[in-house]
Amino acid sequence: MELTIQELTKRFKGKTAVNNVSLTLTTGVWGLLGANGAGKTTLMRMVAGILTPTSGKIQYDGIDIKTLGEAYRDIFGYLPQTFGFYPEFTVTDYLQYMASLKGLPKKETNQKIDDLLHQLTLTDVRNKHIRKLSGGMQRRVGIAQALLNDPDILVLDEPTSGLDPGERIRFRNIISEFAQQRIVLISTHIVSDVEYIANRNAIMKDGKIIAVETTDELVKMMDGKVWQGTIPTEQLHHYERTIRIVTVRNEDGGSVSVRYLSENQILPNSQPTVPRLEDLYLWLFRGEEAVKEEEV
Amino acid sequence: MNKNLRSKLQTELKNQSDLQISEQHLIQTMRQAHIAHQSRRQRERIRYPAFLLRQIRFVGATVWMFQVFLLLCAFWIFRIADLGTVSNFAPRHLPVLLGCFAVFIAMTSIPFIGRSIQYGMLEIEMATRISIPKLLLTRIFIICIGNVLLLTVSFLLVRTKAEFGMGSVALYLLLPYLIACCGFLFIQTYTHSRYQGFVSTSFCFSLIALLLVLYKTAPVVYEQTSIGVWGGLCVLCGIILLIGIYRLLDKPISLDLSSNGI
Repeated sequence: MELTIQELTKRFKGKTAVNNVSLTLTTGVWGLLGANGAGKTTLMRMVAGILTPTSGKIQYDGIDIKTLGEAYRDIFGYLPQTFGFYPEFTVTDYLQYMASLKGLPKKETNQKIDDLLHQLTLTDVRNKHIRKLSGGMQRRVGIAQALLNDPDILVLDEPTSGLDPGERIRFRNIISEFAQQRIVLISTHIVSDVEYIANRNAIMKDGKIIAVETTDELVKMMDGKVWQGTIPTEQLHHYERTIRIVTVRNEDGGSVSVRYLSENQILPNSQPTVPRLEDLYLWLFRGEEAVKEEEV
Repeated sequence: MNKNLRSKLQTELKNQSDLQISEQHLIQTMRQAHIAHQSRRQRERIRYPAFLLRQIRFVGATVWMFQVFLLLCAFWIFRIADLGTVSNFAPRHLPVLLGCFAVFIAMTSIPFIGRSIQYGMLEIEMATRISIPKLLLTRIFIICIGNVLLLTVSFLLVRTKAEFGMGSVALYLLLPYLIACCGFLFIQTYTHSRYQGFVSTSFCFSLIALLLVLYKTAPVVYEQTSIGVWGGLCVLCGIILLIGIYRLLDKPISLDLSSNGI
C-alpha cells in the first residue's frame, strides 16, 4: 500500500501554497509538521481529492486518485481542520449521516458507531446535540466519523486541537493501534502529538517539504544544539533577547533553569541536553512559535 | 466490463511504442488486474436507492414538515376560505395568489440545498464515497417530491373555483415556481458563501413583490390573452432550470476551496 505524491503544486491568486512537493507515504503513522500557513492544509485537501492541484499528481498504488474516484474515497477517512455539523444533529445522527455518505450498510453502521463511541468515550453523550458539546468532544466526534468506514488511508488535519492532555494520549493510542497496515497522515503544529506515534515525519515550510525522516533521525539532527543551564532571574530578560529559549523553570534561590537552542554554548556552565522533536521544530521555524503542550 | 477494460488497455498499449501488442499480453494483463482487484479488501456498500431512503431521515423529515405546513395553508387559502365571499379575495385575484403561493413552495428548498456550505460540512462531505453531485441530486429529489405534491394539491383545489381553464391555472402556478427555482439555483451555483440562504430568500421575496406590482400596474399580464407568453416562458424556464441543475451538480467536482472558499 503506497500513496505517492508527485511534484504537487497548488497556486492560489498570487500565492503558491504548495510548491513542487513529492512524497511517498507507506503504511504507518506520518506526521506532517509545519507552522501555520506552511501549506499543510492545502496539501491535505489535495490528498483528500477535494482540491485540484495546479500541477502534479497523487497516486494510490500506482493509480491516479482522480481515476479511482469513488473507489479512492471509499477507502479514505478525513478530518478537516474546520469541523462543521448540522445544528439539529445529535452525535448519533451525525455519525449515521456520515455512515450513509460513506455507503455503510445499516447493520454494520450501528455496530461501528457503538464501537467508536465506546473507544472515544462518547457513549454518554450519544444523544446530545453536537452544538452543545465542548470543543474537545466535538473534535472526538470528528475523529469518530473519519474512522467510520475503517479507512486504508486516514488523513487528520489538526486532530488534537481542543483536546485535553488525557484525551490526546487516548487519541494517540487509538491511532497507533489503528495504523497497522494503513496509512495515517496527521498534520499538526503540536509537535508532541506526533513525536511518540509517528513512524516518519515530513516537515513543511513555505509550501515545500524540507525534511522527511523518522522522529529519531530528526531529533538526532539537534544533537549538540540543545543546552540546559541555570542563570540568575534578573539576567533572564537579557538572554531572552539574545538566545532562543525553549523553556524556563524557576529554581530556588532566585535563579532560573533555562533550556535553549544554539550551535555553541552561550550560558556559562550550561550543558548539552537530550534533544526533542519540539527543539527541531523551533530550530527550523525561527520566529514562529510552536504550540507548547502546556498551552493547549 | 471486460470489453471496456480491453479497449482501455489497447489504447494504453498503443501509446507504448516499444511494447508488442498481442492478445496474449491483453489476457495476461487483465488476469493480473483481476487478481489485484480481488486481493483488495472487499467492502460491502449500499446502493443508491438505499442511500436515498436513508437521506429521507436527514432531509425529508424536516423539509416535508415545512411542506405539510404549506399544504395546510393551501387548504385554508384555496378551499376552506370561500374566496368568492370575500371581496378582496375574489377569484379574479387567483392568478397572483397562485403565483405567490408557488414561490413559497419553491422556498421550502432553500434551507436544504446550500446547507453544506452554510454549516461548514462541504469539505467533509466531499471526501466521502457518495459524491457531492449525488448528494445534491438526492436532496433535490426529496424536496421535489413534496413540491410536486403541493403544486398538484394547489392545482386541484383551485381548479373548481377558477374562471379560466385548467391549463391557465397550471401555468400561473408553474411559471413563478420555475422562476424562483432558476433564481436560487443560479445563486447556489455562483455564490459560495454562508449567505446563500439569505440571498435566495431575498430573491424570492423580490419575486413575490414583482408579481404583486405587476398585478397592480399591468393586470394585462394575468389576462387570458397573455397565457401564450406564460406558456413560452414556462418552457424557457424549464430548460434553464435543467441547465441550472446540471451546472449545480457539475460545479462541486472542480470546486476550488481557496482561502475565500469554504
